Amino acid sequence: MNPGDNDILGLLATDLESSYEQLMSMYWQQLKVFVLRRTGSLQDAEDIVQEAFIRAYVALERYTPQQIRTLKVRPWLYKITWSVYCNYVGRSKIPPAISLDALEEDSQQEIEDDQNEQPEVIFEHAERRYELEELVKTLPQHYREVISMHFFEELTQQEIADILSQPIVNVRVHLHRGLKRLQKLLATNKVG
Amino acid sequence: MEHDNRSEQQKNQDAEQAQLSEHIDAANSGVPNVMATLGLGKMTRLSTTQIEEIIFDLDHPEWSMRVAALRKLGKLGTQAPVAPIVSVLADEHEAVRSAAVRALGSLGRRTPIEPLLATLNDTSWHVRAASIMALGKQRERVSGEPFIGALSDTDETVRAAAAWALGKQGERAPLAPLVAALHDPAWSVREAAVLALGERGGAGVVGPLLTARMDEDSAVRAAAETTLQQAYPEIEATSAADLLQEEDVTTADRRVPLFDLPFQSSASVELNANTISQPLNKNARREALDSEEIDSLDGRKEKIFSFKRKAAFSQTIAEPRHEQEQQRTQQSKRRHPVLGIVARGLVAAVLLVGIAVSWLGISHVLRPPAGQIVLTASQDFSTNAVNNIVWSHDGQYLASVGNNGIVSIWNIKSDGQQTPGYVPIGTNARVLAMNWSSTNLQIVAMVNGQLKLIQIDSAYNTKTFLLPTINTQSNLLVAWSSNGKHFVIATKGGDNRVELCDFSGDCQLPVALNSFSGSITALALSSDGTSIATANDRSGSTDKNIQVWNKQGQLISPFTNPTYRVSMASPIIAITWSPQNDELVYESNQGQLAVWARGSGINNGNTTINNPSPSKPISGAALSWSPDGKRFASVESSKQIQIWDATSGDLLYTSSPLTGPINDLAWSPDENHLALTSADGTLHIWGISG
Repeated sequence: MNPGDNDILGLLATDLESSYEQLMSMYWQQLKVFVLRRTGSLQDAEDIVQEAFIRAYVALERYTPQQIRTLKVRPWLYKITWSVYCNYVGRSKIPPAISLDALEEDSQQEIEDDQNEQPEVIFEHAERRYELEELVKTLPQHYREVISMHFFEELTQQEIADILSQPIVNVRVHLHRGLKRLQKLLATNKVG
Repeated sequence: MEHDNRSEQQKNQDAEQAQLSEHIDAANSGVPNVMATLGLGKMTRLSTTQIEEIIFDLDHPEWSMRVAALRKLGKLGTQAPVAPIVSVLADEHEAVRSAAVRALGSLGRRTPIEPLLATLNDTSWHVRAASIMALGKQRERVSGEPFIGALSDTDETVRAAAAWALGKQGERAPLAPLVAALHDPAWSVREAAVLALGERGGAGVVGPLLTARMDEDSAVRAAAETTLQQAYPEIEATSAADLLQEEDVTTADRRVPLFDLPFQSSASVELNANTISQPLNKNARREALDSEEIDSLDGRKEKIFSFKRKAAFSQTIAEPRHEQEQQRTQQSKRRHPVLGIVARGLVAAVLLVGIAVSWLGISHVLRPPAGQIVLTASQDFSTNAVNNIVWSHDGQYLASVGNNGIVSIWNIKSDGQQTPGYVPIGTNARVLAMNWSSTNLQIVAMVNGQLKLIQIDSAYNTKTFLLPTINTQSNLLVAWSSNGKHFVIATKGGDNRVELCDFSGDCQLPVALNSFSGSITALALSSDGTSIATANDRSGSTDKNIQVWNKQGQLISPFTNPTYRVSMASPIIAITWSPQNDELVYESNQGQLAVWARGSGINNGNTTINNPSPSKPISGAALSWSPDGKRFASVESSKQIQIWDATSGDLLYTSSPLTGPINDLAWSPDENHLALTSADGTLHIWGISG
């Protein structure tokens, strides 16, 4: 929960109409950037976030004050925005499923990683955030979404799982595999 | 040259990034637009308070001004002019139409319903959603139909609003559409349906809410959990949703620094929402194997399966929680990833083998079907006697009712398909008779002084019909036909009038039984619903009559003679048709049993049951025929089952005493099992064939 979330939730629960502008001001930009990363179009991002906030308002109208007070508002707004984005671009909201075999495979991979991986080494490759963002864009979509949400939007794995309507284990696997690919890309770039 | 190209590329990238940053740093330019669309803000743009001037602004060329005018009109409440607002419902701008709907929705009882209903076909989801919200606030002024229709809207926000509106209708709202909405692809709709079910309340909502606790989405799970705790505090607070939530926190809610990801391996699969049902089934199966062996007549070992609902609950809900906590503890202590994975693999393998053995074991002991509890009862029933029990015609379900008015449906055949939940039909409910139709459990019960027909399907969707009856409601006798299509009502100790009803709750005019004397003490309806059998007690006489009537109240003679007269001091308390309608077994409250068979005459040819211990009265009125009509079961000394040969009258078998007094028994359609209910809150399935 972000600092100020409790305050805004209390205000929303008390007077939704008067405090909704404050909620939008708190989250407008980060949601816009969230969408912008995916669409690349500022206008589309604006439209999507606008619609997301309208839908969020209609939802808040339905909630009781008690429900509003207990809302995890940040991931909730991301979840709504993600849904609008998916509808907007016509993509499926559900990333590809992961088989149990794949999980086992990743578990094995994890063993090797734990023995060999030096995560801080990757930082040396990723001195600039821009370069990192560009590399993330080259990842397959399901890895890209999860890595972006986790590292750029700073959403927890559980929040990502909620947004994508996926089991958390899938998020972990995608995160892990995406990072492995990113490592390789960084290494390739350095050599190149 | 290559270096130049790279520099150029880098420049372009830097420029692109700068542009992106510029966008990011830009002011929240869209906020005012949303505010205007929603009609929010300080309304400084519209300074006038004169209604005429505000109405004039409804034609303002700028849409945001029209929205602001509508908002002001809405704020006027009872003073607001309705017609001008209605006229704007056709505005070209969706924000204006939506604002008009909102304004109309704020007028309380002055809100015009018809114009709002027309906006449900608006092209804009925002208008449709606003309209649903406005209509939902009207509650009793609007039927549920528009909202049910809106549950099929293409837009998820509209569907969620429709679920909310149905919830506002309380128990007037039909249950089925809300339950169906729990399967909507959009989490927001499922969440709204959960909250609406909580708002609606009434019978049939607990089962769906329990199911929703296992939804893939955490918001839906949390909503179901909160709703259950608030509306049904008697349900154990511990829940699968809790488990998932806690697991999420312990393993996932740590934000890890970039590229320092503590990847969680496959052990977490065991704790995932999609797989949590496995431990539930496993424990249910383990419970089913908790049986005691008893000796049958021919020396074979037979099993009594004792299903304690409390145990079922604790093992299906509480124990997995315990297991998961243990797993979490182990996980946190784990240091070596290789050993951890091997250990997890072994645990998973053992579990899988255990599950497989359990399945095979049950299938072997009870064949067919595999008898086991697959229902997770979520309430401690141990202090509440289980009174009635009945099999569905296909033997798939068992339904039981406790004296606390809780109806539970147990899925017997399909052990992978849980039917979680139960239906409370009323704490003061007294079940008079129940049977299954082809699809639904049907109960005739007195609920708060009213006679009701309650139909419940295997998913606990419930319909209730109020039954008008001329009979004395405090002392009714009700009997179902075994085909589940008809039932008959009479007054115990009352006059000779009976009412024949069908499964839709329609009852014929009361029929007076011709040539009737005495008062009715027991009642039975033939399997096809055409013949009514009564046991009569003639005042001042030891003669007890059993007579059979047609639907018109005329005495008929299916057994050579129209009346079977038996001399005994105590009244007949139970009478039951054989499945083939060619025999009637009756029981007195002194433990006497006899069969009146086709072809037998008065006091001649009937089978006198050779009760081996007449000093021990047969308690209760629990009688059940085997489906082939060759045997029937009764209860002896409250705690033992007896099986009789209907032709010879010989006692075939007496079971060992059970732990509590037996309240009811029912022979399964496949003839291989007897289901028993007990006053100690347990339910048993007894295997008959070896």
